[in-house]
Amino acid sequence: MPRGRKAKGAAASFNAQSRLSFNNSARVTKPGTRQDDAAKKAASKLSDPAQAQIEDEVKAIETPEAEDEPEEATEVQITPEPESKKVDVAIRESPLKPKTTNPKTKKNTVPSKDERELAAEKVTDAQLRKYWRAEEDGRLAPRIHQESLSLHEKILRHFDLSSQYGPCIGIQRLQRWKRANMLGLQPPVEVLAVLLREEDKKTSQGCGKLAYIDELAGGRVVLVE
Amino acid sequence: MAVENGGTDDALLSKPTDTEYAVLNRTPSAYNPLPTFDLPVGERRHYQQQYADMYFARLAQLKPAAEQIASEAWSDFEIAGETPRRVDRVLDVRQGDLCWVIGTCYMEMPLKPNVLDDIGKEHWIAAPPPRVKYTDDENDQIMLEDESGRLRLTGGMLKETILVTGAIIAVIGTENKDGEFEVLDIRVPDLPRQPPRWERDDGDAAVKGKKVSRSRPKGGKVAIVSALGISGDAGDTLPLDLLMEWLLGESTGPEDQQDAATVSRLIIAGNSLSHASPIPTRQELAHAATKKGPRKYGYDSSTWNAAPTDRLDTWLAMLLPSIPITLLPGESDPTATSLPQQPIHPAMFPHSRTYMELPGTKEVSWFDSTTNPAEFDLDGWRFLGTGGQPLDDVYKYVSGEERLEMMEAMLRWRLTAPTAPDTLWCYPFQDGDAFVMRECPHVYFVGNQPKFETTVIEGPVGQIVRLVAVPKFKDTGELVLIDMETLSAEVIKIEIFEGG
Repeated sequence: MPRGRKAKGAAASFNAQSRLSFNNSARVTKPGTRQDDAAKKAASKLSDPAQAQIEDEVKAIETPEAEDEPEEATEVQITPEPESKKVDVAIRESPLKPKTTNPKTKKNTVPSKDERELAAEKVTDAQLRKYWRAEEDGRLAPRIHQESLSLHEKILRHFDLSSQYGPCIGIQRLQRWKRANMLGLQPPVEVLAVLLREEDKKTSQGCGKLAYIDELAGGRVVLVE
Repeated sequence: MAVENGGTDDALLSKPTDTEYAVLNRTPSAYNPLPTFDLPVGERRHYQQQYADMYFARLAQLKPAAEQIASEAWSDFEIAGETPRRVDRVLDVRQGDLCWVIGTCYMEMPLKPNVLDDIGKEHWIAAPPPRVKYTDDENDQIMLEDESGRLRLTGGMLKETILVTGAIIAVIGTENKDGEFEVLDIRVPDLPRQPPRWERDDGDAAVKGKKVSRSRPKGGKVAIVSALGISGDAGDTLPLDLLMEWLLGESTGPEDQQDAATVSRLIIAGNSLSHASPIPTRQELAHAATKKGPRKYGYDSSTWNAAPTDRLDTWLAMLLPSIPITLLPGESDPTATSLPQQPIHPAMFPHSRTYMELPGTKEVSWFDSTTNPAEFDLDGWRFLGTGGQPLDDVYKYVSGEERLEMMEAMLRWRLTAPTAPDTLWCYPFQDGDAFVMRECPHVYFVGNQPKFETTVIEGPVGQIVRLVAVPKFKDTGELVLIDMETLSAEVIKIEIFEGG
């Protein structure tokens, strides 16, 4: 509400109390403890979940073998392996079967890449051109007013307007591809290949991070972790 | 204090003796919460995205399940020699063609709260009373929506099923000459997979390399209470104290105390404080508008009354040494009003804070201030509970009065809050709708209901769910006990004897 916002500014000027912060990372603590933890966490963020998973699997396989009672060992051996491997296998199975695991927990244990993302890294320029030619051949008439656009931009605009992958406004193109992939909608790997090329300045053809319509509508780039 | 079930008065009415009474120990409870409804903290929580992402994610997540149920049901459906075919998009239906399609239900109701009405009414002094129901039989329209467009639905079948905005449904029928889709049958995704008891605890133990124990201790009972409604007045002292004494085993005789000792956990399902919501109601705004002097918008510190939170805190602190508590926030509690409501901050509980987890750590604590809705494992059983807002909102869309039927419908739609972005404020999820139920709970409880109701429903693959509508303690004085071995529910009523 506009009235509320203006008044808050006016009130702050004659209220001497500083803003309370419940943000734990900004707390003043003993030097060397929290900051180190935060730095360590930030540095090893990517490898930690994968590392922990590997450690868990190793432990789960090793400890049943160290059991004394034989019956218990066989029983325990069967259950931990499918349990601990389930997380890994489920990620690989997502392009083939309808999704059964939830995307929310995957967000926290990411970013082990799945098959489709790995396949996207191997896509060549010739394959991109072939994909685009197949798309164009599927139409009755060629697209007009797109002569001045680069191939990357044409592919990305077609992806933006494919409504089966969700609304393209308010989300970056890469996030949108990843979200569609997580929900099992199988967006084309060629589009991810283009998006990965766009990340690198050498192979980029100048396409934006947001959908073109979003940029026209005044969208801003939102950094999502 | 008269105890209604007799027999135990003898111990209370006899002379003091020297006999040693056995010290009763409370049954321990195995508790394992799930982070389903935790929102990201600080800068990672964004509000710039639109709700269309949430509807899209909800449809994408539930479409496979609805497709499976619908294709099983309608694969051998035949009408006048015609077999139905699946249509991908809602606008692909053709006139005269028997087909089935999946989409999101949208109810166009002119009596729904409209933000334009709110802006117009701000200038009035007296607000019209809020509507009990939004239904209006002549003017309501039901539509099916997906990313391609909307399709209006008609047919007698619609009046028999409970439908609200946001439910994902599969409909079979044909388009008639008015361009509307005549519905012959409706299917919903139905209950999801139900984990067996102790599945998560066994899984955790296995991953950590510990021995998976086959024998678990017998569970006790869990007490669920809702709407304590502490307002700082003198009127709410006695029933709360009686409840506390019963739970601590300080009241009644040895038999009842043994019953109270089997209660292993207390769940407070919303509205512990009766008037602590950060958003002022329309009446308060109108009252503030008529006050003279400098206007203070937002927070006015001179009107702060510490009595309610103080009372709640001391009450909890007296209970906590003996019994673990799970606290869900409700509509009138001091936390965000949009679902999923985040836990009430430890700063509100200076005395009970010692029983909560240290900030920054993620361990499960004795006093768990949790989200609303909340999902947790208690003694191996999966519990799903809310403070009542989603059910109360669904109640406004449906013309019946059966709250248990609405709870069952919400489970069969697999949605904890089906009306969420439409008439219920919620966080704009972008990557996936957190209100989609991924696993079927064993117990589904909803707080703040007018009376106690319970039933058991069954799913297509043998799932069994106990539904419990928890009544408001402030109005009825009732407390629900659920036995952890049989999952049966019973009620304890605390009444004050008035008159002669």
